[in-house]
Amino acid sequence: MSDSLKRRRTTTSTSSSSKKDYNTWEDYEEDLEDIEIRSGGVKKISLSLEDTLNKGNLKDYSKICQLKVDNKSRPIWVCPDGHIFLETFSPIYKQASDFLVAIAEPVCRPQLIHEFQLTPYSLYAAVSIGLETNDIITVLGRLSKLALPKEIEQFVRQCTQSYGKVKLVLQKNKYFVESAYPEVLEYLLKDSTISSARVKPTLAESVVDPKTGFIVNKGEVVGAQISGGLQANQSLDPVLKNDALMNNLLEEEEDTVDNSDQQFHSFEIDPQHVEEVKKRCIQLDYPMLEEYDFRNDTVNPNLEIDLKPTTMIRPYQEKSLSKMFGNGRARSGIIVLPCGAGKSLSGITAACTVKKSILVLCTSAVSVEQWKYQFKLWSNIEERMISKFTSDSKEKMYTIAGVTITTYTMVAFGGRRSADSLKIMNEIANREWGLVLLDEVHVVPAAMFRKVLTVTKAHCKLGLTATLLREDEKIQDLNFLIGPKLYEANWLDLQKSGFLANVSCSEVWCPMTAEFYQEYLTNDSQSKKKLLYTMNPNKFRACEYLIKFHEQRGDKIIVFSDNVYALKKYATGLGKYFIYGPTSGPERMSILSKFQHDPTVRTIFISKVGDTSIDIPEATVIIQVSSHYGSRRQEAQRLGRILRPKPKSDGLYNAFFYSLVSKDTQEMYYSTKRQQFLIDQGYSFKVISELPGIDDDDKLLFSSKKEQLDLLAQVLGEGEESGNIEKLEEDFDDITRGGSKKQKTVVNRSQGGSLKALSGASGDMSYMEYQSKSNVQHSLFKNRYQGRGK
Amino acid sequence: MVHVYKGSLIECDPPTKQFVLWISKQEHFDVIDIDETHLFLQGGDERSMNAIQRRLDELQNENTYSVFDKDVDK
Amino acid sequence: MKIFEYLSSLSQNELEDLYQDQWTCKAILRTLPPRAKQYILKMLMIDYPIPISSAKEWTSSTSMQTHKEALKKLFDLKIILLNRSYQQSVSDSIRLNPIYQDNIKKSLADMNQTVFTTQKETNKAPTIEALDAFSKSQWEKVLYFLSDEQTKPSPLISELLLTADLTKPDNGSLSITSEGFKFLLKDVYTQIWTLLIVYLNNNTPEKKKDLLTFLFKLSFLQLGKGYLVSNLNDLQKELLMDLKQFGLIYMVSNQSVAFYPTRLIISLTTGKTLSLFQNIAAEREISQKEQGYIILETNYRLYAYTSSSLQISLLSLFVKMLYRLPNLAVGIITRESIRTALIHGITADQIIEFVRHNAHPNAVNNGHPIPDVVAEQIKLWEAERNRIGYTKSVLYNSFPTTDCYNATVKFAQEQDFYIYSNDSNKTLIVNENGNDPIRTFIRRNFG
Repeated sequence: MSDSLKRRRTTTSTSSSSKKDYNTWEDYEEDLEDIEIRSGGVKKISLSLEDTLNKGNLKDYSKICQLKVDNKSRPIWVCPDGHIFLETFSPIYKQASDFLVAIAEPVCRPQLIHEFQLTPYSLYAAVSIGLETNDIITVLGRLSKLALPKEIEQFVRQCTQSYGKVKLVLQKNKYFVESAYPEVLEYLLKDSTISSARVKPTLAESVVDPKTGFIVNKGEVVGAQISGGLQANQSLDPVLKNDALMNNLLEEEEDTVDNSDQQFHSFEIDPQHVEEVKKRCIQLDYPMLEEYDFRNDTVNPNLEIDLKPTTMIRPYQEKSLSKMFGNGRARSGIIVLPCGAGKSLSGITAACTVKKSILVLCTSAVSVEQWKYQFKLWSNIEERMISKFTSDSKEKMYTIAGVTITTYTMVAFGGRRSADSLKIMNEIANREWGLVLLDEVHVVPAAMFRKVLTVTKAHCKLGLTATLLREDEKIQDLNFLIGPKLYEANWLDLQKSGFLANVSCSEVWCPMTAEFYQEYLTNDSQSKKKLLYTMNPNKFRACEYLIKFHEQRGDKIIVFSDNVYALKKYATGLGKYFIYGPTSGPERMSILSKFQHDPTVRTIFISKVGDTSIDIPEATVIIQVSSHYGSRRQEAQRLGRILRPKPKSDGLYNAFFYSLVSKDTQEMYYSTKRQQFLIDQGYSFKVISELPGIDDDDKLLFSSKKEQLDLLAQVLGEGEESGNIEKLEEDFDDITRGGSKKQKTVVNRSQGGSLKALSGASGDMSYMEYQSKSNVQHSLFKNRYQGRGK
Repeated sequence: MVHVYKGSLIECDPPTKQFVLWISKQEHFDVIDIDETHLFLQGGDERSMNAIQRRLDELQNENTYSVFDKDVDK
Repeated sequence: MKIFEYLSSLSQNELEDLYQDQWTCKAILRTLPPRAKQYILKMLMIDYPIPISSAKEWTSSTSMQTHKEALKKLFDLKIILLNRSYQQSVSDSIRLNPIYQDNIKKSLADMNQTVFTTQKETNKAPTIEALDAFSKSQWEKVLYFLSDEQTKPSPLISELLLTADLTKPDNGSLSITSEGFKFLLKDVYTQIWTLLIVYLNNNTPEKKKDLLTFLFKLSFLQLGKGYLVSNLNDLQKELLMDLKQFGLIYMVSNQSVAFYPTRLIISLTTGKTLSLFQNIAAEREISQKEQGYIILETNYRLYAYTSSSLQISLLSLFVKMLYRLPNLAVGIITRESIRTALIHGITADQIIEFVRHNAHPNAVNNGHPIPDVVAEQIKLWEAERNRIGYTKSVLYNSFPTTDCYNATVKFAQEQDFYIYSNDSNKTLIVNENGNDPIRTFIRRNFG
């Protein structure tokens, strides 16, 4: 339904880029940038006014849509193209917002008016958490100021008619294809792949309906108790169910059904064929929801784990989990919470609810440490029940049921392992995990997921992330490998409630000096250009200025620079500590510790390593001196470093985020692009075009022409490499980013093996195989196969 | 002998001046460099001034990201 | 009040001409502020000048300001004439303008005057709602011509807009000017008067006076009543046609027997300001807050609670419109959309003021009628266009000696030709008129 207006710039490249199997999401983004750069710099096709008028054409629904008489009391507008506007100042804003988040993708959510978009994915997610087609249509209609357009009703029906009808249930270690509609099962069984996967019921207590041959179960009603004694909320707020406006009390079905009278039919399938059956169902337009009936799982041993009584869960964490456990079973899916808002606690709470063996997958060894620490902090789990599995620590897994924390790379690794490693890996592969927590899910490439999820047997998968960007490629993979989006928090709301710091975001425009600019214009090397705008003396001075200003205030400052040359120059020039790839472990610890405890160390400089591999302590100010193209994810993540709630200082801003850009260069373009995600969340970037008094301050470095010219000479003398961002040949465990785009990243370890091999990109099963066989494609899945290359 | 030129005095910030200098060859107009913030456009006719403005607009356009560079419905 | 401005710009003779007509005097009296009215009535029966000092006694010390303002207005309108005394001991004196005095006395005395004969009651008379709707749509048409380049205005309107500098020719068609944009922001009465004044000035002084008098007469008519066309002279009949275009009067056709004044013309001179965009049926006091309909967010998206094509068309001048719903229009402010507006002569301040002026109550209550970031960004985009300053001038370099250079610079400065110079490379820039004098100077002094 939503037209894909592909970026003009990359029309030629999408075909080639989609052929590649990307190792990381960053690779994909980088590739796009790279192609432009290779074709001669950032060449925007300057759009004439007509072009801009034709693109994003005005959609005039004023005649088509009908305004209701009592529209003032209703909070939303629903357009025929699936776009939805919401008034935040409506008395039922909260309920309406919750509902919309559950059925649509948030587009932007600033102060007063929020925008959402209905997409097939969002409706899939809605159905997955138990909302029914009619509920959705009725409530939408009720909330809308306009008469609900016919197209919307059709769209919702079309998207949801076949979703949610079939579930894959893992019960007592057996897999069942379950549905409330026997005719659907029969339809599925007509397919040879599925019917050949079917096995005779193996459980003694199965009741088989003689007519249909299906196992028959009665449904269950009880809402799950989320650990901590909290009741799961129902999907539909009671307010929405009562149309007080029209004095009509309609009876709405409760979240997933008052199942007590409903019959569920199912047939059992061979565990070996589960994946195939899943894929087949997708192609037959009946994607299966996966639910894990953990309370009735008597086969897998329980894990004695609970949240500590002192652990407090915040309302939004509770809400997100209620979507997961809404009907008493555990649903697989993704929870989106801003950085610093307590994603780990959500994951841990889920673990304490499921109470079976838990596998936690992280992006680096450092994260593994953090997770272990958090588990012990929030729950009462015993030390011996947690085991770490990283290249440095291969701890034995607790025999019965326990928590194992490891990294994606460790599990996905396809080369030869050491004996120890192999042993543990086998145990991981053989155990039935009740819950797999996938941390930072947006970072991991799809191929790696597939590998990981194939190797491990998980009953329920929970993905955690802060930034769920919605480019086509990524969202499909995540949806189908893990599950639909269960919940997405609203950054501004969290900020207003004090769960996130109140950040002031600014973009500081630093004019290029005449000489640097002249070089910038005339020099042909892209990499040199980059270095020039990064090393702009005015930028340096701005940085120094800001550091001085904030140090005086007593703030703790982190300065990020993706470019190593700049990092070193800045840090040494200003006499500050810096950390980058080659910095040794102990040295890092020492610097970080000083930053935390030594009042004279107020500022540190960090390179890309800071993005994941380091546990960065609390800071109140972040300054970005050089960053990675237009990565919105990185921007949001860096912001997350200072988002942890701070005690309010003078009621206003208590955290500061500065992005320094060189005016009149490509850097401006990338900077604005990066900010889009945050802007959509409601943040605004103030432009600081002048720092008061900076020109008068001659104590700053590079105040004199001579110094500037010297710097220029040095910069020009640097080789090509210096202009690029840091290549991290990091921890084996770390999912490296931004490595060389063209070559394979070779990890120097005894086991050898390339990242490509690690991710299992070679020789893995892929959905591509099926393209030829199936003609019937649901619009939701069509794009998945198109352009995937042959 | 003192040289005399008729035209237009251009006043702007240093980077812009560099830019104008740079495009002067490409757009075929002559400039006299005076100092960091001043140039003199010889002839100073409409055509050159329009060319300068046009190139400047292009430069600014290139360096500005607009939401319409990407899909609008996100 | 626009009308006062206009009248004040007329000469004493012109004004006295106007004051020959009773209705004019009455109309003006009606529109004056209370204090001024009071003073006129006070002096109504006094045929001789009174010292200005005694006038001071009419007011208490606390309302001295009002007193001065009232007197000033009356002076400007030449309703009160000042007799300067050239003797030290005698103070200046004032008296009512005799012509005005005469006529106002007459008009106040005659209670039975009717302006124009009314038509007999008929069923065919348009209702007040119909009249209101008519005047609203007519006037909106005029505003449309301004904001939407595609509509074609009538020759009269087109000419007026051009003369008033609200539009300018642009590649064969007309486009709005900076003044035009400001115009759109004003209230409807100011707008009408602006065009009327241009209209009046387009005519001979004779006609002007007659037209003005006619206008004033019209303001005494009653809303809802029809008046006979036959009563009017030819000039007035002509004017009627034109006024119909503005929505000030209504006639079924050009041959109709009767014409109907609309609310607009009646309140034109009474100083009431009703916004055209609200429901005119209820003549209530509308605060600015309630009129506000624009929400502008930090992500540059703009939401306008309106269904008026005119308002949307106004917004399209600087916003890229995305959606239009029955009661909401959604758009986004982009660099491109602002630049388009800037290229048309609209300034950043005007845009910012427009949004602020029309901010939705919710936005205002939130403390941000317009988000600071957006306002600043708009200003920055404007500044972008002004990065280069051009000055037509003449440049001198290659001075043979430093002395020669210095002397020439000094000379240029003394003669006011100097624009700029650079000592290190001995370059001097002067304005064009200085070229010859300077060349002469150099030749004379340095061979």
